[in-house]
Amino acid sequence: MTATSPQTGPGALTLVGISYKTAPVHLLERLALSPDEVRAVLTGLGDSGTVRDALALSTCNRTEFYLLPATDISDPGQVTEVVKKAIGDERFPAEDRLYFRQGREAVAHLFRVACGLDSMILGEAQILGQVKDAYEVAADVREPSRHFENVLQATLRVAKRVRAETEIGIGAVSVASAAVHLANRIYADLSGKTVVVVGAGETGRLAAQHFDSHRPHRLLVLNRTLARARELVSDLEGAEAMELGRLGEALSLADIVVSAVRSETPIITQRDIASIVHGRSGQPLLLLDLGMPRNIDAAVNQLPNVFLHDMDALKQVVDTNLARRHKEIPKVESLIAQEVERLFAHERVDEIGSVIAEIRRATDTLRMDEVEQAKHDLGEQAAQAVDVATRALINKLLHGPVTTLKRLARQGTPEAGDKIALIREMFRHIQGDGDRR
Amino acid sequence: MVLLLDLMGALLPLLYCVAAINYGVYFVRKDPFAERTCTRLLVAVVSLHLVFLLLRVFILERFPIATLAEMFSVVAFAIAAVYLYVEKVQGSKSTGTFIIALVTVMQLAASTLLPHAGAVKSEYLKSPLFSLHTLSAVLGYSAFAVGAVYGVMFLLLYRALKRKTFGLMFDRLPSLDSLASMAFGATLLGWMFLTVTMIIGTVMGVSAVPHFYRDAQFVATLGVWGLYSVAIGAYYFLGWRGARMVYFSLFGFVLAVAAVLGSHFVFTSFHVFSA
Repeated sequence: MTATSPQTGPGALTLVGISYKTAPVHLLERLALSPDEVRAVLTGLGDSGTVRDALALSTCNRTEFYLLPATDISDPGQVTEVVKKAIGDERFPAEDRLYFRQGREAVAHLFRVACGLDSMILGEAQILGQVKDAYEVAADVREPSRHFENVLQATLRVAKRVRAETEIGIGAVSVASAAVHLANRIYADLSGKTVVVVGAGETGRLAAQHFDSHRPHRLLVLNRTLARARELVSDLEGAEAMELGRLGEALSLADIVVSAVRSETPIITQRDIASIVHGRSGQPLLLLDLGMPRNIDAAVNQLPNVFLHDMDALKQVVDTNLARRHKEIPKVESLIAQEVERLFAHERVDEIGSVIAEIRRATDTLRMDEVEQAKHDLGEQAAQAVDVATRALINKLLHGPVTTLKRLARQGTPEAGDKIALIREMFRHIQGDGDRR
Repeated sequence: MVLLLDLMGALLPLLYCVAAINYGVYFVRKDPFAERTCTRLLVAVVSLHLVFLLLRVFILERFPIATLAEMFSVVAFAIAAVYLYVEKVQGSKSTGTFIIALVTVMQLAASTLLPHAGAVKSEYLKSPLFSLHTLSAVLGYSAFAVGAVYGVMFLLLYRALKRKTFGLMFDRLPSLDSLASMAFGATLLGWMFLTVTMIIGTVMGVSAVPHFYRDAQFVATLGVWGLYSVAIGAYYFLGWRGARMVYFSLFGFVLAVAAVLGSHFVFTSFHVFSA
């Protein structure tokens, strides 16, 4: 038995959810909730009377419900029923696809999710924004209780701490972002650079989008079919479409070239690059060959200040970064464990405050009885002296137990919980005696 | 007091070494403790170095740049101070281990040579114009040294990018164009100080030293200045950038070091003030 009541504190936090780890895409899609649906479900859960607080996190990789019950619903079956009722039977997956967590495990899971530890791409940052959005919606639907607020604030805190103190989110982990990362190792700022993307297929589109988000000076998209290049640039701010026939002209302007077309022979040769390198006065030129078969003659890498990287190199960057992120997992887990402990310790100290207030009330009732008695027996003046003396006496008597209670609350062990229960019991008897008088 | 100076002289390379290692730990592991302490430790060591130099001024009653050892120590101090400024401006600590390693080597050489330095024999050292001449020379060579270190870092990253070795250098160093611009900025600063040094030296030489233009160090320094002038001219007028500029700067630095050492150990020069 601990000081924190499992019905109200984070010890009562209950999670029921489904994710890419437990279910195929079609089931995830079925349970995915739009923002309006999230509001409706949260309202339904609140109206059920069994849930005090609820947060719904619905992304393309997971739908999870974090609940603080108003009543004791520790049985997973009961939890499922409450959520199923709010969502609707037809959308709700079979129980073997769901996972449940309670108390510390639920809190730790929420922390892991917010830190990107449970994400498909380890350490991705988007999930933190989604957790924040879910928090805002939950707070909008119903004002969160103090305990729920504490859990959610701790979640945001731990995610920020993990991002600041570990490298879990460092480095590019997709081919397109690795391409931008490589460009950033050569040019600190892409705003003055010209990027040429050859090919308007899926790979070219992703590369163009990634580079466009860094606001280059010019972004030229070349394609055999001009219409397709135009279609791609219509979604990009300030990008220009060109026909593949103007490749030579585009290369002469380029600082970064991304090539992703299907071609049996290289479309960019050493001769093409050698002719433009001379006019660049030693300024570096980055060539990213994302085509299969390769689009750029490998010999161009021998030219001074020309850096050619192909898909293998980009995958190497991605793999290196992912391996580095994996190495950070123990550090992140350790931070999460610290923060879970901190949250529960905070809750225990918070809770112990009400126990101390309860003890003070009990002793004060007894004391006031004595003061009243003194007033009756000895008169007003003597009663005042008794008031001062008993107040000082009670403060001195309670100093030890109060300090011990706070210390035991911080310890948070089951033994400490037993001792707290014993102290409460002792003072409850005092109160009982007072009441009988 | 002399004992205190000896003690500080022995401590300084050791402390710079610790600071360089601390920066190295930050560079390799991004260690939070090293990140918190590396700048503070370096500031403390540089402050101690300043006290050391001021004490020498107080005891010797002259600028402590008469001997090669003194020159090394002042250059080491200037490089460390310039680095602290660059770190503050750039907001990056990732180049610290390279720069402070160089400072450590220079201060180690200075501390090793200092006790054996000969007596100072020249009256020039009391001239304010001479002090300005040597001060600008020290700052110039310090800037060239910083430029050379950034140049080496540029080449390390250049090599990593060419060979597709995505290791520590690839991850931690500033971008290639940042390193190139830092190397060029330091080189330009060095060239400006060296120009001032040459002008003051020429003015002093004309009035005080017959045939000063035949002096080994003067000729070598003129060569260094000429080489850097060509590189800077090529940067502005021919648009030279990247590896070509870096190689030019590194060659200039090697020549500058050779000029200083050669005039002390190989040729006779009126620039040698110790017995």
